[in-house]
Amino acid sequence: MKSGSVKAFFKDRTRIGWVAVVVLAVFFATIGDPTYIHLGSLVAIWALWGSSFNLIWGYAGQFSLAQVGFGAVAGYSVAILTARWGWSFWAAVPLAIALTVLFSVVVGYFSLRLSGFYFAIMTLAFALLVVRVISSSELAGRSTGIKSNFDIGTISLGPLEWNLTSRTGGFVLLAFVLLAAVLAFIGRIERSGTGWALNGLREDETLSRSLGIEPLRFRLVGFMVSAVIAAIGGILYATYLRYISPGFFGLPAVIAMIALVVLGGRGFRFGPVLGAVVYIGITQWLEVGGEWGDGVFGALLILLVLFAPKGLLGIDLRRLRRRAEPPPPTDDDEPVAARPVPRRESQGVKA
Amino acid sequence: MTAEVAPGEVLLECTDLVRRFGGVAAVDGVGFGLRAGEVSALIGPNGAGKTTVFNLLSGFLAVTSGSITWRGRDITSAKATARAGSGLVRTFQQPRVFAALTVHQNLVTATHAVVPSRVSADLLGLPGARRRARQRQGFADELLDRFDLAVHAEVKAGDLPYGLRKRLGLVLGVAASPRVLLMDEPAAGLNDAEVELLKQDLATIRGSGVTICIVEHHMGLIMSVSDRVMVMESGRMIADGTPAEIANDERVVAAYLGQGATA
Repeated sequence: MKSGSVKAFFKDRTRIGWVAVVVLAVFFATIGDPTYIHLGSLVAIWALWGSSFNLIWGYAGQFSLAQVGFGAVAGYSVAILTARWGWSFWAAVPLAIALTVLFSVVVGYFSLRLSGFYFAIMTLAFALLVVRVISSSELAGRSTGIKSNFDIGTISLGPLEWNLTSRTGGFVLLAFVLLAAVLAFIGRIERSGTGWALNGLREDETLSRSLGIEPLRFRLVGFMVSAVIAAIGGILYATYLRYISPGFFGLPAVIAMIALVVLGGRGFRFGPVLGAVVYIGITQWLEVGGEWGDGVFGALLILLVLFAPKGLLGIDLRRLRRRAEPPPPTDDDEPVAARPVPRRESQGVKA
Repeated sequence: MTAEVAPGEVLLECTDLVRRFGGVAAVDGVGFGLRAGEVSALIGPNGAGKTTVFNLLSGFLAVTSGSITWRGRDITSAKATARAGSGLVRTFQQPRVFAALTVHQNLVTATHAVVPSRVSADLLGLPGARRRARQRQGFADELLDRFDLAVHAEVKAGDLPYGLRKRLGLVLGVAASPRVLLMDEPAAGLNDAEVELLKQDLATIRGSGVTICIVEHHMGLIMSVSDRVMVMESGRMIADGTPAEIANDERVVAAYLGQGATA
């Protein structure tokens, strides 16, 4: 990292992201208004789902449509274990996550060998298969689902009592704490050899292989980690709604997850957070209800793809500012700009 | 890493290599060995099967028949990644770089073979992961200095001009810490100044103990850097000798050198 200004710039961005997450968490957790508790819970949950998809698509380059299916496996596992078989919530969660990871290994083993489009279709097939199996299973309550008061209860932190009951400020705080933990974890992967390997595979698989990076191994790891994140989102979703049904995990959820990652900025760690804020803001807060909400969101996506294909966080503010000013005599920002460079077609990604 | 290799030891050897595409034998019974410390060149007209040989040796293509040994061990069916990890590294004719990453990030990514990732340690954030991250950065910084790429460190590889992208592709191969580096047309598309720079790079790479084999059309480059030249035509090896011997070989002159390739 020779150029200090670039490094400082990106460091700042990370800091901005963290400040935003903390502000959102404090705002939604303390406001006490049920409407905002509702909005805050959804923002955190969708940011988690988006982060799951962002890890596997934005970082690892695998357009996996199975993420919602992972959320369903985890959410239903908790629902069945607690509501049907009388397990406690805290005992059910680790088993649910383990089952989801196991499922992701099976899906990954079969689908990660396929390239591009075929991988996407294969993972979508798995996701829809999950919904299909759930809808026809008596145990899972068929299409009506399982009504269950996911009783998380309270945690005692010394003298403090943390009430985690659904639809309270404490629950919103829990959702944001989990989101922050996931974002920190993704940051750790970003800086590790595993993260570089995933980046490399996304950019050029042939080159990566020539450098000793084994595609299946690293992609499977990325897939498993993304499944854990999706599982956390799925469990939180079911917990928040105190209810789980196959309708949550169909195609609309898959599309919403893709849309909010594209909106926030693919491959940016805090992209899904921004995407979730905008998505929930338009469809829930502005109450541009039903088809109109989707319509407005769709129009926004079209504008974004046209004018900022890298998403909101991918908008290069310095370049915009430069464009607004009269062109400087020399472009000292970029040392190689002396010669005109044929640009490769946009990859739509940053590291 | 190369210290344990005895000079003159045959590192890589292939015997009776055959690769068919449909009914056509692109490589038809080729065999040779690469000795430690040697710079060899593999030349021949377009379509002679040179790049196919590289693809077979590096594991990017499966052999139809024949065998490949690496330091006495059979690697005929070993994965490309395993071959790269053990020090048999190749570069590409088209400059392959990680386009959306900066030059520095490209090099960090390429250090994978030197500093292998322990996935569990990376995910759990164990101290070893942090140490390896530092090793990677250090190794990448060293390569930036050694190949004068430091000024471009923060430039996205996809934004580099062709010559520099080509050079970065070569340095990525070096970053994988090869014992043998198979270079597929490193001079293709380069101007004269860039070819001179490539000669220096080759000397640097050779000086660090790496055995080099080059597929190339640039005869000036080949004649000045190679200890040994192998000539292929229509999937077969038609000559193998010193540059001087090859330049005077009638079959070679007829097949290849006669066609104005005296640059």
